[in-house]
Amino acid sequence: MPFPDLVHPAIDTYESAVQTPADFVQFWASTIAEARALGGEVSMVPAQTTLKLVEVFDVTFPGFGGHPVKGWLMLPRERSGKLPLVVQYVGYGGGRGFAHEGLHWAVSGFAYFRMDTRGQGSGWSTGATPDPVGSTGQIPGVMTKGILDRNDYYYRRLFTDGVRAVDALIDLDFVDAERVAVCGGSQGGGISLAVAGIDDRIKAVMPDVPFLCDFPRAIRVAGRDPYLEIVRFLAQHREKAQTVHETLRYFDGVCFARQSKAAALFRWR
Amino acid sequence: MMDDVCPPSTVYAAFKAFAGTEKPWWNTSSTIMKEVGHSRIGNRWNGLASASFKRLILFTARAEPRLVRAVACQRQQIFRSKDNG
Repeated sequence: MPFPDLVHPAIDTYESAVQTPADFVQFWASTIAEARALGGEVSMVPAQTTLKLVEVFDVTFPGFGGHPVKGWLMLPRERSGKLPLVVQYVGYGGGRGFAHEGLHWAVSGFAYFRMDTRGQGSGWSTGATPDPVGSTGQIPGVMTKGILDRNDYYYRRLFTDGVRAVDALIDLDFVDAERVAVCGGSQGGGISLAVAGIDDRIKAVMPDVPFLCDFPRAIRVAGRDPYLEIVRFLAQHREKAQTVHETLRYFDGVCFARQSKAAALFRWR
Repeated sequence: MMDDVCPPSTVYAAFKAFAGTEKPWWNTSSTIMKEVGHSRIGNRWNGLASASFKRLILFTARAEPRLVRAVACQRQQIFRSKDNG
């Protein structure tokens, strides 16, 4: 039996106290515009696998700052016309994994892309994308990486990568640009919410127990990392609490959800 | 057990922040998985689609999320075409 941290009737009326910054939309519009202005090439190299039903491509696309970001693109080997596209983002600490993993969407008839996560990919699945940007001091992990400045915060780069992944794929001749969905679990769910809130080309978002949501409450009630990275950071930098919370408002899934017009399928456990 | 990595209330807060969730669809893993098992999923999701399914949150402690998600996507009109989906 699930045991939520809020139960009925309190959960029925609960709403996040997070206020969307007045310049939230502009902040993200300018961030994405800057990344797009840098341009860059997309490369798609056929991956060597033994798969009979799925074609896999090793994709590299320009993300935030034009930095190269990796991902696996998987297509059903037998296909005709344009395919709906599902872009998946990965949970905290993980990377894109191996080319033969996560075949469900492709064998179901979708074009499927699993984006690597810059600077992660050594926790529970492998990655191949560095985060070549320095930042101020941080707790081990990425939750507080650059957290004192919204422009330097790690998730500004990662969310931008998420939008640029869609940019890289949406105009390919086998992709139906009118049927693009994003998904992911935990951190991947948080990224998918962000992308759906920034990019109105996204028609459906499927966050699976999304992370990076409702930060003020999350850091009070979460029992484990990664939210607790922020708690430990603030234990040492108590005078920075207001600055940290101000930065996090620009990266909160609640604020992105308020912007999105996509259909949404959440899972909560 | 509570998900103490992503507290449920914070997930719900994001869900509720979407416009159009004043009357969200709720469901349980046991209901959906039972209907998948009995091949009644089509009727179930047709019902959701005809009700202009726009937002859905699933309480799924043990469900196979990919299966549920795939079915949900395929039932949405935005994913329908003559050729695929």
